[in-house]
Amino acid sequence: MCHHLQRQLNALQKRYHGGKGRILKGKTGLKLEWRQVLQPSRLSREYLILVKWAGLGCIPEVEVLSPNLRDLAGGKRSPHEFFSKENTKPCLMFNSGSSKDWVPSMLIAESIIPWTQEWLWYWELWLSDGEWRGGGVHPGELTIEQYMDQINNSHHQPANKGK
Amino acid sequence: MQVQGFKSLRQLSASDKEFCFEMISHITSNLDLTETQLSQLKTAYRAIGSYLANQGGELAECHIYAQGSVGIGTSVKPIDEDSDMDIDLVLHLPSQHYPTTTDEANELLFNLIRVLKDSQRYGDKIENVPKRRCVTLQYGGIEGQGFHMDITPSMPEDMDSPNHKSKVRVADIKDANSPSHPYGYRKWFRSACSKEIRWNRKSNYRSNSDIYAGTVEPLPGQGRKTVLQIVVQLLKRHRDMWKQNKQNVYGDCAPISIIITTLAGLAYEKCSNSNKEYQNPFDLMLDVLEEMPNFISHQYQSNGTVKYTIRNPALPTENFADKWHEKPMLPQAFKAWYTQVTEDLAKLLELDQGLDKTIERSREMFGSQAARGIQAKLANTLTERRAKNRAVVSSIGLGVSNAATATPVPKHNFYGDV
Repeated sequence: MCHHLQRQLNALQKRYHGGKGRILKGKTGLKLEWRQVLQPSRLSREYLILVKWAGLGCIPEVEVLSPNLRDLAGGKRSPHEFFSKENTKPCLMFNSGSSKDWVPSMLIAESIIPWTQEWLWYWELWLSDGEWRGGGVHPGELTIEQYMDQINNSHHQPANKGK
Repeated sequence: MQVQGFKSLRQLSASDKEFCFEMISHITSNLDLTETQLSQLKTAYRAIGSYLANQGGELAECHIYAQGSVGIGTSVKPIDEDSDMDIDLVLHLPSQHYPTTTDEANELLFNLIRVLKDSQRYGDKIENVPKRRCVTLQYGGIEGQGFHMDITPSMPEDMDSPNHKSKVRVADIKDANSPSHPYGYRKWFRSACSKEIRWNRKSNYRSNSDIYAGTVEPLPGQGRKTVLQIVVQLLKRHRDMWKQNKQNVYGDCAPISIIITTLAGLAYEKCSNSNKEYQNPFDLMLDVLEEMPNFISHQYQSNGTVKYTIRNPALPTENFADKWHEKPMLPQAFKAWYTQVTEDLAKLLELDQGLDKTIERSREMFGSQAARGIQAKLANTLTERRAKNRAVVSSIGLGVSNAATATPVPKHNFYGDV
């Protein structure tokens, strides 16, 4: 288990020197935490993000720690984020059944981080006129936990059918 | 002249400068006439020319051509998208003597109106009363933009060189006639546009110097623009916005387009002649902006006042700033506007503010069409890159330059394009 986390952490540290990460014990086992500043373009703000990954079977979870996006948007929530009472959690990918944007063999450094950069770019454009140009489907009122449950259920479905 | 606000812009990295210039050129892209509008206008004014030539007499050899901004590819659409746009045309009458009295000038202009009134096609479009130097034809709309054409008759200055390419006089209701050289000005500006700039070998910017090769009679296509044209459009639109701001005490004295265009053209020529090597069009733009005021000359008069001169490069006897001496508000207004535009550009391109702020500022400074231009550019840049699997990953941010070392970003969906 740990070597998956370590592989991801090594790749992140290698590519993003300004970031900080660690592997720590969570409720359900070890997990990876990675913090770094992202700037989608030179004209854009700098955002401090947190990536959490609890290993195989989970998708990485991204949170924008600062600035507070909800405050910048005057309390509004953009179409492509998970429901969250605290920090904004961008929805970056579509993982359902066999259709997966992200699988654990992909490096977070080469997928999740640049996707978050893109997401922030579209978020700033959304802030300017309320139009989401990044495409995709609205996650609705799902929290990331609810979304994860959906993934796990869709995981088990083929197995059930097999029985 | 060192512009204080440009200090920060000068220090940007090469790729940031290219990105900034792309932003600037997209501010102006939505201000251009479209190819359809240009070609329809061209057809329309040529038809007017044939109609007039068919009337015979002094009109038989007339030649009609675009002068002013449309003739040099620096026109900007009106801020108010419902208002008409002026298209300035010259109607050259090579065999007619220029008027020497105001009566003659009036007669000439009213005659032209009468001839157009008699036409089935133009009869209900021509305005009954001339302006000071031209007659006005309502053209109607092309792709939702309304146009009217100001037709200024010109006659040879010297009957020995009657061609429109020589100096001319235009009829003038107040002064009988006034010396002018619209063809020469157009030629000067176009040649300034096509001046060679020494681009650094590393620079991936190349100007299309062949656009203006030869004598270009038709309206130039504005699809491919030179840095000079972009700068002039940018400045003119900023002036339009600045002028309509109700809090601006100088609004009524805003610098006229010919002054902005001439100073930018002269500054651009100087940059080209300096043989300085440029890495990117952004530095060139900053140099042009900094040089512009140096082409206004001041002479202190014995009574303590100042006489200003901005010479018409095509007609040195003409001073575009001749009114500045009598009306000190005019030079003050120029200074105020110039300070504002340089400060605004630095503010627009301030880094780390947020793309939403950049768009908001571009709307305040350059109007809503301009903001839409930037917005579309920013949206497309990333969408195109995603489509090509080429979004750029770097530790500092998505550079917008075509960095060859960019690592491809795997395709993904924001919660699925299903």
